[in-house]
Amino acid sequence: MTAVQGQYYDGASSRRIEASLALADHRLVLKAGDDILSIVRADEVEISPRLGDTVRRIEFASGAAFETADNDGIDRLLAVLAPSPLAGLLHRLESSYPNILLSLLLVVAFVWWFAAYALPWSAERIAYRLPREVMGQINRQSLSLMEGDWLKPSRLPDERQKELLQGFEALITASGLERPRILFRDSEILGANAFALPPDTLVFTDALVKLAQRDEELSGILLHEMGHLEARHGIRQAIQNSALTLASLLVFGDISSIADVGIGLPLVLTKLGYSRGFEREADSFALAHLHRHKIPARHFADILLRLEQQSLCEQGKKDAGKACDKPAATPALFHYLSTHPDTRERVAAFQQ
Amino acid sequence: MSDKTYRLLFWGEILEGFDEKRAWNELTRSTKITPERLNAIRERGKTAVLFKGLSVRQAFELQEKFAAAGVKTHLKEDPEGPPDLSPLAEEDAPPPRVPVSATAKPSGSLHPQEHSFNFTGEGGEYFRIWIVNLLLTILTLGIYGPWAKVRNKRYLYGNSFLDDISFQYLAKPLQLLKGRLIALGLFAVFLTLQFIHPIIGSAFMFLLMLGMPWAINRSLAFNARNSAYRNVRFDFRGRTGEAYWVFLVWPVLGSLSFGLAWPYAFYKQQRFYAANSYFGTTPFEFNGEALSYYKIAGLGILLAIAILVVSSLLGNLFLPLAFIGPFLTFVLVGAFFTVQMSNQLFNSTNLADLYFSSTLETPAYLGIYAVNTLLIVLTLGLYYPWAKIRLMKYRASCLSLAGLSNLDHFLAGVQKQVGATGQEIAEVFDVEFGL
Repeated sequence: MTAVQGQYYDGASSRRIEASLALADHRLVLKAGDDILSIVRADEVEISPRLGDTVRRIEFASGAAFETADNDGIDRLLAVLAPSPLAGLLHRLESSYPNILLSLLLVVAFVWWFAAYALPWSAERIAYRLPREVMGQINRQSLSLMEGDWLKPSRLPDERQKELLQGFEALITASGLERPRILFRDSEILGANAFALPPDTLVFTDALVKLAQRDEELSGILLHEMGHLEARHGIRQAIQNSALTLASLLVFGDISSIADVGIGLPLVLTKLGYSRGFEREADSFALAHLHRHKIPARHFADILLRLEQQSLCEQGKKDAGKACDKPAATPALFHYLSTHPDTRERVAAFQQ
Repeated sequence: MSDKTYRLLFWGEILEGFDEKRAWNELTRSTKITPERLNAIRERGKTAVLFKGLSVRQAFELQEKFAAAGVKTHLKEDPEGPPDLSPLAEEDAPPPRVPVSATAKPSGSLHPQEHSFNFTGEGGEYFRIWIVNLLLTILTLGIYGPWAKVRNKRYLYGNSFLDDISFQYLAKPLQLLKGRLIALGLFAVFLTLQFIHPIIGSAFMFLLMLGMPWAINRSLAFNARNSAYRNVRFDFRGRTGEAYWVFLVWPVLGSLSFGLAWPYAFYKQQRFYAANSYFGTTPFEFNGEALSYYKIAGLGILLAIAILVVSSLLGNLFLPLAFIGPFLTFVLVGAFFTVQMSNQLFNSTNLADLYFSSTLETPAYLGIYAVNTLLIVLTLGLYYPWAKIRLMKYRASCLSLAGLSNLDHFLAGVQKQVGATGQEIAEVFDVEFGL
């Protein structure tokens, strides 16, 4: 068996010495020229596991090290010194293309299964087991955080508020749903918007109420938000997003440098996907209830379109200083970057 | 190979901490050397052959036996040919002293030499390592993470060459495991609190953030001490107090001063990083000046304004251009800062009389970044290993070290190990100090 050529560093300085490592009588003999630097048993040194074509390192107890690019040479020495079926297992896994293909398939399948099924399934179970008091607590806190800067007392006339509440109540009672707490708030930041805070709070902004041309439009929105409440979407989404972040941290250990794009982007896309899924669910919930009460579903479609037109115009004004009549259509790719499904798709469901 | 025979040599050395008398007794008892001869060996620096024609096992056992008595011996192969039967001979040649007598003073040629960095990793090879890491991490529910990380880093370090010698990453996975569990535990506590009681959750996060300068400092030390070149470990000796200044106080002042102190904060951070780093016992020196950082910031702002103006002008002709203006500014100026800061750090740093030179360029960096991002998105993240390799190759190709001395004369230090908890916390909370 030929000796393995490499470099020796004594651990005290950076000086490099050409050296060789050979096997004699079940011991490793380290030589520089014809001087023997060390004779050791295999268990007295630490031999780094093979990794691609990177330099192999044999570390001695003294802190000295022998480094060599001759990976096969070291493997031959090891096969005699410490034969083990596990030796180089990882390297064998990493070198075999069938194994790589299998790993790739397993990883992709697992990630997909986890993100598309396992996580939403568990989040739903957890959300329905969560005590109402806990959710109420979260809800009160979220509201109190938003109250003030984000949400100001409504400036709608009291009569208008009462009138709307009565209409909403009738609808909810007729639907046999649990009665939520409905709040009207003025918000410059949120604009025309409505949102649900689990377990039982709905918030409508003044701007949304004003944007509506008919009360049926607001009924559609109410039912959509009730859909979120009934299915505990808020909590489920929070659980799913946190668990996803934690899981990716567990797998990747860190999210930094270009991993921001590589890992961060799929993460964001998945979270947005969850959000769109919940919106679709809430839409079908609203649609079913609108049908039941014989309220024409197109009213909900109308206000959705108006909302979109308004937000696109505002965006356009901000960016280009242009007034707009017809907002430009968003490219299909952007749908994946959105928290809500494409408005056209949503509207189509309600116009049928 | 096994039929070779060995001789045991004595150069008059006694191992540290041993009684000279005892060693002498052992020598005279086990060999035929007289005390007079021993004195001659010691005083005249000669070599005594204690035994010849030994098998490896005999040689090894004798060496251990002598070492136990404090006698330092050396092994050499017997010359080929008929065995010399004389039991004992004194060689006149002085001992060759193969083991390094390290000198702190760098000696070298009179002409400056350039030592270039080179990265030899390959996307395909790295992908195979990466995907196996990923699979094993998933199958073990994350427990394999630290092993995966070490394998990953070993690959990247092992393919980073200075001259024709590669760097080495020496951290042990078990060191990382404990730290990672603590860090993930803290993060899980935060997520739970955030969920149940957002206000307490935020307060908890605030407290954790207060600990971040400590974590970054520990992380720098951990990484340095587990990185080696020519079997000499790097070191980082930043003090915690100083870390709080550069990673907390200065950035806060930077924000309070509407950004005016930000360049100064970056200057302080780079100085903290470079000037506290060591290669073995040799410190890196940092000679950057705050003014350079203000120049970079100024150029960056001018660049941002230029892009915004041009894109909004073009936006009048073609609306979508107005939308991508801010995004474009973010990417272009981001790349500009990354490149400039990296160049600034290396070009202001030297190791003894060796000076770094970094010549990254924004357009080239931007090109790589754009292609990487595009392909990562199109492959849903699977292109990541190739992207990483491409970037490392470019960075290495732009880096070099030049000076009169060669790299043979750096002394290794005696180092305390540092725990991995800080390092893992810094990583999990994504506050690592990037280069």
